[in-house]
Amino acid sequence: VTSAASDPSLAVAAALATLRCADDLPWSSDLAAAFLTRLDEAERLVVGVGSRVACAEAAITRLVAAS
Amino acid sequence: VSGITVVGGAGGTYARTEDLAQASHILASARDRVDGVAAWARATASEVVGGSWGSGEVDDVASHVVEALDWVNAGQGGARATARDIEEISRGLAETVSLLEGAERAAGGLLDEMGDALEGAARRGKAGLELASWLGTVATKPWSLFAPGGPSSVSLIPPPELTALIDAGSLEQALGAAHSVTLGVVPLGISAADSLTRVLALSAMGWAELLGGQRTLTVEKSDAQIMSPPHGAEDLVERIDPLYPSAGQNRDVAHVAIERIEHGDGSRAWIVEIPGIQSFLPNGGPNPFDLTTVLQMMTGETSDVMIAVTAAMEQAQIFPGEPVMLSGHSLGGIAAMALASNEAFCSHYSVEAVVTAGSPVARFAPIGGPSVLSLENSGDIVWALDGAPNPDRASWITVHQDLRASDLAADRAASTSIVGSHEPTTYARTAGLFDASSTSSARAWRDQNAAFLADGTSTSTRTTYDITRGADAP
Repeated sequence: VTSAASDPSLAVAAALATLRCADDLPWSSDLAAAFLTRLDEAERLVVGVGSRVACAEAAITRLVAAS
Repeated sequence: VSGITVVGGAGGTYARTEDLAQASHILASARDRVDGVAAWARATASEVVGGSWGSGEVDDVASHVVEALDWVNAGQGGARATARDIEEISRGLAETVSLLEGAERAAGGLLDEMGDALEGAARRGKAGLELASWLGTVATKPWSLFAPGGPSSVSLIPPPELTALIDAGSLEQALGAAHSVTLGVVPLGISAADSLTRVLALSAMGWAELLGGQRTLTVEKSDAQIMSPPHGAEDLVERIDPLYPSAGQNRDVAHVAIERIEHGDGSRAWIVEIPGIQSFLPNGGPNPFDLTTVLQMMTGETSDVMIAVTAAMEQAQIFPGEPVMLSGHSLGGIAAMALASNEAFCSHYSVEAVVTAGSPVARFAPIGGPSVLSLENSGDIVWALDGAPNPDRASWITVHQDLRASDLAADRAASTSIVGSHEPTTYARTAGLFDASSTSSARAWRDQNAAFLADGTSTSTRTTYDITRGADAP
């Protein structure tokens, strides 16, 4: 197993970056409150995935070192 | 036609729906990346499982890796579920865009139709708006008002702040255009009403799709006072006026009042007093006397105001068989007639009388033939919004007053504006003329409604209820 662990981390970071692009859209104030709540929800989910990926990456790093 | 502006078409909505569409694509992109993470976890786990690690210790580490990779994908919060959740948000957003674009097209058509119709009306020296569906005066199906668990369990349309398609200013400007010419009632044709209905319904659906969820409705007793029962129709209408929020009061809380009339012989009767619309936005805000309620009635749903009134009546502990009068101004009159025409409601309560002031109620068919008194002032277009005259029945009296010809300076002053003609205080004066009338209809009305009026021995306990929509239910 090669340590390809940086790829999923980058994917998670990219997902977050795209969500924050949506955050930067020129929302009208009435629309922003409604939609940003949904974006926050999506971002929270992606951050959760990122935590799990970080754990898996750490385990892979240990495996690569042990083998 | 000057004074008419309906937001829609190119009026800023396009950019906003574009924003929504762009956000939908961005979300789809984020979903793809999370899907990529899920695929990586599956492929890597498979590789680790198939690998040869040479020693027990390293095998243990490999097992750990497989567990960690499985966890990346596992259950709620895992990459696969997250990708699905984001996909769901993106899909909902795309559907919202579709709904809002449909509303935008309808709004464009509405602008043209309303403009043409008002122009024609102005040329004839008359103007009026026939927007029956806008005020939701047609009951299309029976409502279920007695949901288990009370009003807090009811699902409501939850649109947020809405200025994207039809805003308060647009509606008021449309009404203002009618004010600029001699008042009268000229049906503009059902096409304009249909268009407005379509716009409002589509936009409400769009917002509901965007936000989802439910909102609660709270009805709480606020205060009670003992007073003299009403002496006639004037008192009945006057008592509605203070239920509107006055300057400086919290406009987020609506009020209805219920009077318990107790006579010397021990008999009781009840009067339910309902004010009218207090917000022209369908924004599902805290005050339920708004356009959202209208939309609910328009689409045949139980309106928030009907639910709230029913809940207040349950709290007041009105017994079956005790006479009930429903009295409402404007939208409150519509709600009163909607309740009096509702089978479930009428199976619980004995509605013996309805009083409406400035309400378009011609199309309702109250159950059991209660006494109906409808007050209609010249210059007020609201009662004419259903585009039909009230039926001429023995049990239904309609009182018109030409304010311009009134002996009272206050009436003549009120006649110069739609708002003045529609105000509860103006209608109270019209009701006063009815009280003073010696016509057989007026005398019969007083006799029929004696149970609700002061008789020298009776007292009234008047309780006010506070009504608010809450935040999204958990």
